[in-house]
Amino acid sequence: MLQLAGHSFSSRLLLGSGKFASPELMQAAVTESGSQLVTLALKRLKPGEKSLDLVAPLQQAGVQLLPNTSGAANAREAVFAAELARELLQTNLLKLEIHPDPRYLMPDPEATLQAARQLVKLGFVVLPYCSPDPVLCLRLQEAGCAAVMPLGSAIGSNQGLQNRAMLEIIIEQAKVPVIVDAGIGQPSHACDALEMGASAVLVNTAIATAADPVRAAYAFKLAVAAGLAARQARCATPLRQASATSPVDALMAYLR
Amino acid sequence: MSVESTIAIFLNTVETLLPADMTVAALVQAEAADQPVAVALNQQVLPKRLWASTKLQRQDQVLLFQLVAGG
Repeated sequence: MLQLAGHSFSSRLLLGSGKFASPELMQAAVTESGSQLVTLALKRLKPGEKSLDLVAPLQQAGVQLLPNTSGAANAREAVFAAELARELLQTNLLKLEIHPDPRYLMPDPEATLQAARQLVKLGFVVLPYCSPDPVLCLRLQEAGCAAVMPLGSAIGSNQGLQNRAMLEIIIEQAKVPVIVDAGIGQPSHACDALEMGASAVLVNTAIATAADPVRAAYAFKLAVAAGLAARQARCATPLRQASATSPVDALMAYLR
Repeated sequence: MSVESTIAIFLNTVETLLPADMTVAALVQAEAADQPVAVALNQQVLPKRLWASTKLQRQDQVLLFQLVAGG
């Protein structure tokens, strides 16, 4: 089970709700994925603009909603967004994200750590999106975050795990769940993360923008389950030379 | 003596005329009926339980927020 403060989740796949062609497609993909934790964002209401109801279909799908602080450019804005989200959804769960740079959407480590410390004091279950920096992840853990969410690669880039060595150190050191977030473009990337020992992955673009998002959700569900099972099985480690799987001596010795 | 019938507030940064004595609850009902919103009044989050008892004052800055899709 994935444990986040007092919450338990059997699925190791978190889904982002962005970029789906319709709420119906999002709901179908969420259901197919088996995910139990789905992110939402906040936006200022535009008077007169008809908004799509996302909460009802997600609640019908039986998932826990995880608001994010996307759009916050500094710690103060992130804390404000968090308080709005808690008021709206009546949940302490929070994906903290502060990425002021629009080109690469890289998380601001200083602002993220500062906001995390404040939000933990305010009673939030803080899941910070962060750089794959082992020291930063330790600091976020010490600050009381319920997990760390290092990026695989840039948000929406589908480049997979571009910082494997750093992720391995983060996973080795972490006492809280490590959820690899961002950049996971293929089910094999998700499987890889779980095999490495990540507790979960968060996927959005790869599923939402697939030609068939529901089928993609199924593929990621399988990949995450496979990666977790492989980890639990402690599959064999690489060797530098061959190790025979069939008898190689004696059979044809008389011919030599 | 005439009773002032409207006040100006800033709704999502746009100056807006409202009936005097309008509550936050009434404003939310008018602007965002049936959809979940959060309210910030003068840069502070205003809990829902206070909407009905909070009357808008001249020059108040009200921000309404909704949930949208996002990763």
